[in-house]
Amino acid sequence: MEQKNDIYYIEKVKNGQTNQFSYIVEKYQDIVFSIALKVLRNREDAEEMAQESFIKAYKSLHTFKGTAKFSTWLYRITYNNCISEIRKKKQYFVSTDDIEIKDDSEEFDLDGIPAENRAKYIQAALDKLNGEEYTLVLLYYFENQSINEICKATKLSASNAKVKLHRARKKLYTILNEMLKEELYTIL
Amino acid sequence: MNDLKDIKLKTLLSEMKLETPKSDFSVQVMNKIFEENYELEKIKSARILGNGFWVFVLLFIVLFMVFYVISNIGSGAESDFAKILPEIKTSGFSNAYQSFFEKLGTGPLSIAGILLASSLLLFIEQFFSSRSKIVL
Repeated sequence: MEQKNDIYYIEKVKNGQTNQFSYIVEKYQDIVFSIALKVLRNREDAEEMAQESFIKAYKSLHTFKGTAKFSTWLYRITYNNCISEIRKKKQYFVSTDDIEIKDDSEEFDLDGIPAENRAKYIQAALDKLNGEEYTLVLLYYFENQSINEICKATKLSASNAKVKLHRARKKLYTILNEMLKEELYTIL
Repeated sequence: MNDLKDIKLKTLLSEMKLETPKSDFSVQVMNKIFEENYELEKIKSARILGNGFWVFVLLFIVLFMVFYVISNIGSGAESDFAKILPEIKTSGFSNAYQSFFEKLGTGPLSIAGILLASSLLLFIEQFFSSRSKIVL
């Protein structure tokens, strides 16, 4: 249904009703901005890049055939834009390799996070992931994109995307575990 | 086990709040799109051969004609010149005219050549830039 809605508006835009594109912008602006912000780590740059991504998508709309999800196509434009930007600025993904992934991280129990603080913990843990890991987690868990769709958006191979996603998830659990331990020490 | 955990993580993450851009973000995007559309329409409707091109061509023709007249003067053109201006006593005038253009030498031809080349380059540049803007 959601996809049908996108196609419906895209067709209208293609037929000359440019103002219908605002539906697409309104719908995807938060996720596009979030990806840009995580990769570029600067609100102004992220906003500019997000705008550019939408304009680029609008200009290339005639090349969108509808074989893949529109969101996947849009995320690919956004992600590529941001990667090109950080290459241009000679910045790099902020490394989170200093976070040592624990072998037992997969055993971490999500139910152990106090319900009232869950959102806060998750947000804080996600903030500690780098741009690529954040994008993978966001697309897979938040946007319900398949590995295949993630590969299209990020240009990663399927095996690479799986490995990176697995690593990002373990890192997320490790971070959450550490945060909970710290909280416990504070209470004690 | 892992699948269940994945579902739990998915549920947790679905509650996550995304970062939001400024409140006028979509308005700004749409304004930029409308601006781009307007520029595109302007380019589409603009004439590829503007006034500048025709001025260059006209100057070229004039200079070419001048050069033609001068070259005729050089090769027994006194009579031709007299034919052009039959009513005027031309001996003094044509001498001055001839010496002036002798001093000029091939200047007009060179200028005409430069103008022609410039107008051609202008035309090519305008043609390709308008095409590339339309493609984007």
